[in-house]
Amino acid sequence: MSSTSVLEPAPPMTPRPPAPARRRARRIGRRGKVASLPLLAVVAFLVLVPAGFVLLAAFSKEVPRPGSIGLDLTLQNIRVLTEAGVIGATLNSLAIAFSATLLALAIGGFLAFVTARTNVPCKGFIFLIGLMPLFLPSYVGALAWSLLGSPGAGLINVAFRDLGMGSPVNVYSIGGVVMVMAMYYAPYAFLLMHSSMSLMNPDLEDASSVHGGSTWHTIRSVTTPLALPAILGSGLLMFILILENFPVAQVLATPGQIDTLPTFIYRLMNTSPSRGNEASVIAIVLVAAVIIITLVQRRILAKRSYTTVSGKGVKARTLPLGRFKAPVVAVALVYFLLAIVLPLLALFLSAIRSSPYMQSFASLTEPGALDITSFAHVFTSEVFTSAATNSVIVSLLAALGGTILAFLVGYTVYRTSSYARGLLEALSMVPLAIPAIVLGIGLLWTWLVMPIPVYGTLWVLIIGFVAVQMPQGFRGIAAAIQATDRDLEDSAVLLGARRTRAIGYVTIPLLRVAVSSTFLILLMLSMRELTVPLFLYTTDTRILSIAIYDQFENGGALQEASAMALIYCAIMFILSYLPRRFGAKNGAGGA
Amino acid sequence: MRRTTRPGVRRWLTAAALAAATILTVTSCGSPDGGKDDQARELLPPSVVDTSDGLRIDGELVADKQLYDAAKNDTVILYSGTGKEAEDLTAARFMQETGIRIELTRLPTNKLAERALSEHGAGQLPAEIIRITDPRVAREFEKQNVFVPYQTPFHNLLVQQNTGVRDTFVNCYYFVNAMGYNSAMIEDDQPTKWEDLTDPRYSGKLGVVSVTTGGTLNALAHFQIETLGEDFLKAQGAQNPRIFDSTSTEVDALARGEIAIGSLSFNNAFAAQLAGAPIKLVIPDKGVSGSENLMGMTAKGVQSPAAKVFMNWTMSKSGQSFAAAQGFVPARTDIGPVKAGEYQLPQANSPQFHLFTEEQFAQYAVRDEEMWKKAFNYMG
Repeated sequence: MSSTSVLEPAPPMTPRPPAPARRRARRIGRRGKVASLPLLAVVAFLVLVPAGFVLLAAFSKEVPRPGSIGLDLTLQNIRVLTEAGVIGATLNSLAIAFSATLLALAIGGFLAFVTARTNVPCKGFIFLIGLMPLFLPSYVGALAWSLLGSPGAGLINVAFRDLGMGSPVNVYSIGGVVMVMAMYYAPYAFLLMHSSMSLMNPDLEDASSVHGGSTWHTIRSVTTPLALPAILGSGLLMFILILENFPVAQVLATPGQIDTLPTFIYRLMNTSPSRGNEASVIAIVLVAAVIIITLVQRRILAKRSYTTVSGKGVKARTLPLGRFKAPVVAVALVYFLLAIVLPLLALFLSAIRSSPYMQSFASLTEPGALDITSFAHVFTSEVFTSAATNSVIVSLLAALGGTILAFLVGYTVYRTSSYARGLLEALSMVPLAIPAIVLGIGLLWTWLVMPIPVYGTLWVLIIGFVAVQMPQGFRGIAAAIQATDRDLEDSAVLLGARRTRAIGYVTIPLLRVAVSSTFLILLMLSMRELTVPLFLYTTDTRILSIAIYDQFENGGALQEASAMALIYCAIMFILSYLPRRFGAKNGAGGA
Repeated sequence: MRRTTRPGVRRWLTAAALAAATILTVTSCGSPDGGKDDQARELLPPSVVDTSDGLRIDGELVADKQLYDAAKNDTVILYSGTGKEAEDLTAARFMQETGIRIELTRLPTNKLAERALSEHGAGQLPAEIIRITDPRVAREFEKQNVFVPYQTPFHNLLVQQNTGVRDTFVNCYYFVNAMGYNSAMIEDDQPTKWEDLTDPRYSGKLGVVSVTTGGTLNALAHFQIETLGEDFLKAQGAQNPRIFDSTSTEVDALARGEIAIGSLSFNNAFAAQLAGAPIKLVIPDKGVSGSENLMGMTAKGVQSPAAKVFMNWTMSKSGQSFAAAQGFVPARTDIGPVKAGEYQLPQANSPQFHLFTEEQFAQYAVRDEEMWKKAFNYMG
């Protein structure tokens, strides 16, 4: 056969239409359309079933248990809401959350403004000061502050007593709780406000000073309103996180006989006989509060336009501080001292003190009072090694599982035209609305009832962590998937690769920074998680966070607990630094 | 895209591998029992163990030859609500005397109840023996057939001594609540009686554990109401006391000097004192409260020779003496006085020992709890 191949001119390339905000995926067949359904089932199971059990328990007589999941419904548990204790706990929770949020906004805003918009010296160091408390888990900070500020034996009070000035500090008070919460949540405000302020277009501020406004007037009437989305966004986020925070409240508020909603729920679960049904009612109230506040936040932010980042590449205006340089640096250093230095020193001192009782600092000079080998003992002790091994296993597997799930969900939501993608995305974000303590209870009941024997093993912890961290995982990968052009993947398919091969050879390598960053963030979050495993662990499945909490709470091991907490802090500092070092540089979007 | 990412990632992977290697090495050189073996020997001098014909300890037959030979290579799976420290010491002692290992899962009582009932409901309960501090839970276990009947060789003796033997579970020893103080803070005019808890000089420095924490606290509340009066509770409440959710946190606060004095779980405080805390315990003349530690066999347990040996050993003279040495009151009344360190607790048949029986639980627990919560103005 003659092969007169005629080279036809290539067909003209049709210019691609401008992409709409969310690209419509090209048809990928029925298989693609139902790809979301198994994922939907998995995600719904991970998240909705625990929430469902809590809901069921709130209206049942008995807690869910194999052999006794009945629809034996009752409304009598609701009566617990009228108990004086619950009302008191609610008021306390709201007061603490409100005050701590304001204080955290003040601290974070101050540091953000100073580093983004002034010529303060040592800017890099002050930026680090604003960021570092994020690396220290808030409950370790609370435990350290308990050592520092407890009214009887707190180190600060011992020092004051040595100087003959009584015992002025009592961290077991609303003020104490507010201070510690504010210090450890301020970095959220700091990060969000810093990016907002450093990207701010200076034109409006220039206009203000051209028209005669003083610096202070400009800050008040131009800069601050422009930073309002960051302020509101971080403020509401922190309000929710502080409201549902359990560990700090348990360590600092409970000894002062101050109840908050999470500690009240915990106490009801732990009394003998257990009042799990009533705990569920209060849990639902807490969830409702969180959902309402989240919706309010969305509503407020959606209505306005706060464009401060435009196409023009301008640098934000820097304010000269003049003689205020020294005071500003001093304030930043005070925050550093209170949030990082003093707590770590307190833990260190407790770790090397051989007796838990210290009447005065002079007693440290006695022979045998200090014993630096405690670190070596802890490092080789069975408690630490088993907890550390469990932590590593659980965190690695949870981060791996979470990343894979997040990638699958993200890909399905943004790259396919499967059914119910919106539902899938919404379900992935649901754990944000459920406080950790409620999720912990729900997971306990879910996995007690399921015929799969994971309760009492590390697997239930892994599953729990994957469920709790779905929002963070999804967000981390989703942004990157949305920002990555799908043409390369589609070209691979056009050239004959199967879709899965195209994903494996093209898309995943393109997303490797986002994937590895997400993995590292999930790893850090898993190592840090305390509240969710609190209901799921048993003596043989303790992880580091639980082991430290347990040792502090159960007493008799102050030295070991402090040493372990310090080793844990070192691990957390390293793990928290990794996503920033190796992850996507996306400003405030990180953990 | 940063070209430095690759070597950066490689560096990180190396660091991670090194860290993992360190952890694995350190794991393998961990000390296996944390010195419990030595501690057990120090608490009570070792007994005379004779394994020539079955297991005989200090002359008493704990297990016959057939049972002991079958049990030698077995493990006991124990679920317990008793404190971990105490159970670890007991396990060390049991291993020293019988060579049999105990695998312990320790949970606070109500969590333990949840777990055991759920696992049993799913047909997956691995526990062979369960120790629980609340008689209401023990009855629930009996009702749900978690506990099955088993009799130790000392059954008739125990019945005779009225130690608390039921069809499917026994009382193995009693928890005691007494009082104590921080000896570094209170150096003169030290407390000797219950009424000292209401002394105004300890205002703000008194420690109390919440009655909702567990069965032992119900016993203490009842004892205080019956022997010292409801006003005694109110007087304590007027001291601006620190209320704790667990006995161990209270002991810890006492050791640190957060509180100076309080009613205490005896074995917890004793263990802290042994570990060097400046705590001194007081056994007042008016007596101490007692509550049962209930122990039963599961269906799996009656098939396990090691579990049977452990049940028998617990009720033998040796097991009972070791419990006494730890700061519990033994169930048996024929083992003679055994000191816990410097302290001599009253025996079970002494008038100083105020036991909160199961019947009293059913009759008074709710009432006592209401009174207590009112006196201490406590919610939840």
